[in-house]
Amino acid sequence: MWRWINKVGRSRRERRLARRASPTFYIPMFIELLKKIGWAITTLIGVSLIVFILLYMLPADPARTVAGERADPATIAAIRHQLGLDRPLPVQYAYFVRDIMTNNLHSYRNNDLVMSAIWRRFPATLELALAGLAIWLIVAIPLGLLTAKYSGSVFDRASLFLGLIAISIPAFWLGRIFQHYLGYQWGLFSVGGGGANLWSLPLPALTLGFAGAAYYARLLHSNLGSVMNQNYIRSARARGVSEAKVLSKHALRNAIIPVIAVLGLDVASLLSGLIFTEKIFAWPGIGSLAIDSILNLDVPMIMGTVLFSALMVVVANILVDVAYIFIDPRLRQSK
Amino acid sequence: MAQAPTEMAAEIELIPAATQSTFWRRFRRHRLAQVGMVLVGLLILTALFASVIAPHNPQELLKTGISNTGQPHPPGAGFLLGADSLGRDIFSRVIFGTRISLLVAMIAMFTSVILGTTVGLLGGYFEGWVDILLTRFTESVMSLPTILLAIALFVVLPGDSSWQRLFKLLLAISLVTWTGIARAVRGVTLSLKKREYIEAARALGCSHDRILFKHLLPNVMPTVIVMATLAVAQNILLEAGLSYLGQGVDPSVASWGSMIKDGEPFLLAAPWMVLVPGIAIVLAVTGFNLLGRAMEETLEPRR
Amino acid sequence: MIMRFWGNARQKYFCTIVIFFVAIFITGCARQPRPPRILMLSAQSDVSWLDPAKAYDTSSIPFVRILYRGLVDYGDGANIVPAVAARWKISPDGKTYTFYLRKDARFQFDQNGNQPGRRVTAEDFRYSIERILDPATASDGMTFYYNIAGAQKWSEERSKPSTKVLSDHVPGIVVPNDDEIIFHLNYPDATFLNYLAMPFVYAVPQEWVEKLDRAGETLNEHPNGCGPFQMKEWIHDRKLELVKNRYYYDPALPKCDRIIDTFGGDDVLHLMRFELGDIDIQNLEDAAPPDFMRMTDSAKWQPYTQHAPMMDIRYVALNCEMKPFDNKLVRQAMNYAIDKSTFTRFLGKRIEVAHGVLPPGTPGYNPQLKGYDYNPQKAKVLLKQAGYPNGFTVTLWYSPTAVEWYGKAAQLIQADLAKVGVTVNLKAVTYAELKTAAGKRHNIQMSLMGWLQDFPDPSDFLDVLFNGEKITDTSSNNRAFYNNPKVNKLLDAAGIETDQAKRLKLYQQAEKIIVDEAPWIFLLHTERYVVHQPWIKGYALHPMWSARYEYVEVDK
Repeated sequence: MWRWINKVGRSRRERRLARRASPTFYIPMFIELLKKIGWAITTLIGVSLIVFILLYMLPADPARTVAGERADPATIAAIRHQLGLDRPLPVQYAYFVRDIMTNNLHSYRNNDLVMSAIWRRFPATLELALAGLAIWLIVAIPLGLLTAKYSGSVFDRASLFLGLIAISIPAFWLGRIFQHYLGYQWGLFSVGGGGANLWSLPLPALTLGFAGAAYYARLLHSNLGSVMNQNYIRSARARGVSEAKVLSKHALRNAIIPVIAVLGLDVASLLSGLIFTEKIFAWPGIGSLAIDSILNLDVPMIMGTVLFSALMVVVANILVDVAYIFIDPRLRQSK
Repeated sequence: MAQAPTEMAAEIELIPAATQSTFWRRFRRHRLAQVGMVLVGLLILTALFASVIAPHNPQELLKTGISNTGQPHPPGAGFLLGADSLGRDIFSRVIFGTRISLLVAMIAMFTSVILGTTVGLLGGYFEGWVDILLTRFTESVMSLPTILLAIALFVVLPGDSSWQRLFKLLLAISLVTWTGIARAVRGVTLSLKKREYIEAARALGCSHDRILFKHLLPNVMPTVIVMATLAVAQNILLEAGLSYLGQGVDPSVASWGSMIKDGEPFLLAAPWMVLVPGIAIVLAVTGFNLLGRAMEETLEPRR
Repeated sequence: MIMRFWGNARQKYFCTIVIFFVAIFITGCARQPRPPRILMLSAQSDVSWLDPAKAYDTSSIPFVRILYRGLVDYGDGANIVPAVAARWKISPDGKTYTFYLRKDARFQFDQNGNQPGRRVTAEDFRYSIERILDPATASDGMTFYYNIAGAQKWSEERSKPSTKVLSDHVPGIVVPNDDEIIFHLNYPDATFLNYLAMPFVYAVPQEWVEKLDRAGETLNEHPNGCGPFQMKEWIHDRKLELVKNRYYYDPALPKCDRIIDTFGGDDVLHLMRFELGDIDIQNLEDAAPPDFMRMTDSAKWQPYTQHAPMMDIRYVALNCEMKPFDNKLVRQAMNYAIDKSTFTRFLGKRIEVAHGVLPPGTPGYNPQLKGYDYNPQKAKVLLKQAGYPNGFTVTLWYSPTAVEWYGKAAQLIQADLAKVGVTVNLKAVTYAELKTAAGKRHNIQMSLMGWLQDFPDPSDFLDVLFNGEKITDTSSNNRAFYNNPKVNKLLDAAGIETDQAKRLKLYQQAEKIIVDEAPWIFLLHTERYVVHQPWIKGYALHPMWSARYEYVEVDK
């Protein structure tokens, strides 16, 4: 009887491999991808409209800021014309979009190019975000697996409780506490401020990863819990597949799907956490740029950073969707 | 942090009225719910009876609060949890800060619930281009990091007096947090629409209004209540973050976020200035998170 | 591998986590190695401008003045000493200045960016001044040089594109040869040398600027001066790196090889980094009182602290053209209502209560001036007399980012005024916004501001800030919009008076009237406190420049 079951499994595997070899297999995925990119572009357009309308309501007069203190009204009027501020709204919006695309947007503070400034700082933010993500996953996945395995025990309940507390901690508070105690008083890590290098990375990454790790551990745990009772898990166990393989190959794979889906949604909140972390540790990334530009009312820079964050979220979501398609066999067929 | 995954929310079963009492019984016995209710209950009591509990006026600059060299008074005689750098009593400020946090979080929660539920219900029920438009809009707003959007909104809106700032804060927070609710409600509405009794109601010629209000809305409520509780937790964090950056209520008004900001330069000499409000935030947010999670777990279908 | 993992799952898990964090710990612990003879500085925000025509704030001037050099400079104090001008003579009527330039000053780069550049000539200085006078440059210092004959007309011609340009050069600047430059002034001005010491008119090579213009670049990003340092790299909002100019005309300077200024972080972070040895010089203006005490009183740091008066005045401008501050009694009441001793409590030695306008140490400072002491009762009486028995509501504009303690000051003012029945709404804005708003007429009632001296002379305070004739509709420095014809006459008379003693007396009379009329709430003068690392030598606070980095030696 065992041999019959194994034979069934092998042929299923063969079928799967055969499917993957043919090119027509990938077409529906490609179409899905195109659709998603189309949606993403509409989202970005929506974001740009929101940002533009928001900033149109700003109280400060940008022409004066650019012209400087001692400029007379004639100069200010000339600059208003130059900046296109006296044109009707839709025209200004068109100019805005054109400037973004051609990297022609100038900051009000020191005439720096907005898009170049953002691009310059992007690698730093990426570094920090990936480090934070790494901590999330490295701590969360084994923790989730363990709590699922020992479900119901004191360990499990304690981790649940501590996890909920962890996501309730404000990032700015945690960052400062880490910075002051771990960095300054006990000298364990660098306190930051020296630029975006490996030495300054640990504390901000820890701050970022802290809350997320707890959250994802719980998520994985609950997903694993529901998956573990499914039929195919029981049949795999019955077939004699080792416990480890059951967990890693079957259960984990299916439980991780919602985790990845939520990961995509959570990029936006990762960015929110980034903003405080970058500010506190003086990490030269986009988050601190965004906050400084808002507090300085540097309108073009605000627009640029907000749009760029939206772009990052949208791209992350697309990547997540692509990963989703590869991992979840059920989604490979077009609906 | 993100709300509960929408997949989970969409799977929440409908609760007929008969089992509502069972819900309460199960909820009350849930360990998380118990702790959560205690915390939230304490918070609400503190906010209501702040003037009775607090020994000092939170905005009063007490002469004994700072030494002649500007050192804030440590926890002890006369200052239960110490004083801040201008001589104000931290304990009183934290107590009154509860008012601000809860007030802002709850009111913003109501507004965002109304907004989010409306968007979600309309989109999920009518589908078609209404749904597409609403979903696109929701996704656009969701792509923006919440705190950035909230700060930008606060900075852009006009108004400087205490009341105007409060109003701006409420508006900014509500306009940023409704998206999670909208998404969840839409998901539930979509799955509810497939139920037979909704189809039957349409066949019988029930107007859209009737279906929306009498049939869909009550059944969407469990999701909404869970999301609302978690939203309060998120709002408390948002409000703290905004006042930390100076974009909140008046700086002299006691708010946990601005207290932390004030205390940062004094971490070495007066750590209580930073630790106490931070712990307050953690307790408050944990309370609501516990409640929300507990509700979610009681509502979940039995495994 | 996964199978082994499940042997003793819980222990293995915790082991892995511990190893992971220990790894982070080890990498984090390693201190970044520090190359020798570099001066490490840090600032909260980026340097605004490295173009001498535009640099007018404390973040930019210390760097612009070591990248570029002018005709004259300040010596160890407020005395004028030669720089690129080796000597000069002034005509008896005080209207003609002749400068003789040294022959060994060279620009850092030549046309193609190689070192060294060509010699600095008198023509370069004429070009630099005309660049400032040109409205197209939009320099804050344009009006400072209107005293040069024909300069104002030359400048105004160019602001209207329709007029035919009449003169190529400013008639008042004469360049007979490469080594000489002569200035003819409209009227004698004892402070003309001070204006020449400002970075606005430091030498700039014309062909370099024009070449950059054609390539679409700016002088700001590609400085080329004749100063002791040259720019190596400037990454906006991250760092500014300067290196020694080997061709500088004074071989003894600069004393260190490189300066690196990193931007970002707040004051708390900076103090931490200073104590950990990452930054070499740290100013203590914004330090919390306990930290300040630690730096100035403890045996460890006290030997390395320095202090000097900042020569400034911090005040709240009360708009004399708007209600309720058009009434002198109200303004005086405001002064009586503020308890300035609270400031002393949390700022300590860093401030001195102001009784008048001029900071102690300015020529003409009047130590007998009494000013206003704390008397809330009198304030209430005055308010009642003025017709406001129940007080009133006003909005106070301030910038919490300009100076750290402005936020606290605003709250203190709000609290003090509340005690006499005046409700103050606080409006926090950016510094740029505040300057714009406060400079506009009939715009805001109260603003918390400060004024630092440009050079040590009472005219720099009284004439600029209180002369009614200097009020403009859109960018008035006279932020109280105070206009008293008697005071105006005194100030104007003092402006052309050549006898110093008489001048000072006129200014003192003016100050007395001003203090009595209370167009401001006179708050404080600040004292600069700076601490540096033990391995820093030669650092001294300077009354005009916040720092002279060319004299700083790094012994590490």
